[in-house]
Amino acid sequence: MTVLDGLLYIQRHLDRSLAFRYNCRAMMCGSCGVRVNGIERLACSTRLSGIPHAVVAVEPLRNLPVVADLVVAFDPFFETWRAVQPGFVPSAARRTAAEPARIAPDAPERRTIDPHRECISCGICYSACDVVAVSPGFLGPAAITRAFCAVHDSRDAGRKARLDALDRERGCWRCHTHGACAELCPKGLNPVEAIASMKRMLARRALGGVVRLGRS
Amino acid sequence: MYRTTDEQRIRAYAELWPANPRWGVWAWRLQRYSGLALIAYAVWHIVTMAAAARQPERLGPLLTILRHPAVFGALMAGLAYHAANGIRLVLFDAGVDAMRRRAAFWGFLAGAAVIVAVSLGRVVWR
Repeated sequence: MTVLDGLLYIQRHLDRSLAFRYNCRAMMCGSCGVRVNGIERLACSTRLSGIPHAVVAVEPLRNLPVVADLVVAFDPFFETWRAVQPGFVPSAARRTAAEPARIAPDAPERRTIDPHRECISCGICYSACDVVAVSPGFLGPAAITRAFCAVHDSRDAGRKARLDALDRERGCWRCHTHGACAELCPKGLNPVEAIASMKRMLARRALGGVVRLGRS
Repeated sequence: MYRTTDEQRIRAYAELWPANPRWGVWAWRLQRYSGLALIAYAVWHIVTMAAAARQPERLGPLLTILRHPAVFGALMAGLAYHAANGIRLVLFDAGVDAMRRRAAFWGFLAGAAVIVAVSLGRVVWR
């Protein structure tokens, strides 16, 4: 029996007004993110028998406004996504190309992107992040990971705009490498690693600018 | 490269309750507290040593305080922890993959503990 089964039992037999979200029940849609005994989990994939506490307290995700009971509004979360332009921006060559781009399975960019691309936007990392809690406006782990994937995609033409968005005060420099996002991501992603990689890329970009300035 | 299947990952997620997922937050807090304590110590050190330079008879009591095992141990613990965790984070940001693991934190912490023990042995109990 999972936490979601428990919530459904409560809704059907004890309190019909209980509000919560769920959909796929298979850890794919990311709808049922909640905090179980203070730890962010997907309700559909958290077995009650695996929780090492006698009492199970289920709360809504942190850092997002509560709409009702366990339902939160994701507007602040997706605002951060919007800031990094999450959609694919095709280059001029790609827009006019007759054939789709081919990226080999063993291409370096695919090996870089693959471990970071399975985000289901469940908001668990956003809730787990203590920097988001104290710095409203911080882009957060999910949005920066999305930017990481897009920036490393050779077909994408939105690289500069994304790097500019990440290079702001509330961009990736705000991350303090707590790592709670990586510890709790249900898909096993490691946003803190993606953020560190983006910091390195931004540092190289800044140093490149200094070198160019010295040469001119 | 070996990758776990979705089924394995889902089963592992469902069956394992995460142990101390916010350890990194505590490591960061301790980093900040130890940094503030070291700044306070540095200010105190400069002020008292400047006073002792003018009045040499003050130096003896100062050294007695600094060589007290509790004071020296706390100072070295703060210094060693701040340095060890700082190096770990710098290496992580520089792209050393192994530094992202929890074991790296405990390894550096163990290194810091050895430094504290050796310095206590050499300075206080010699």
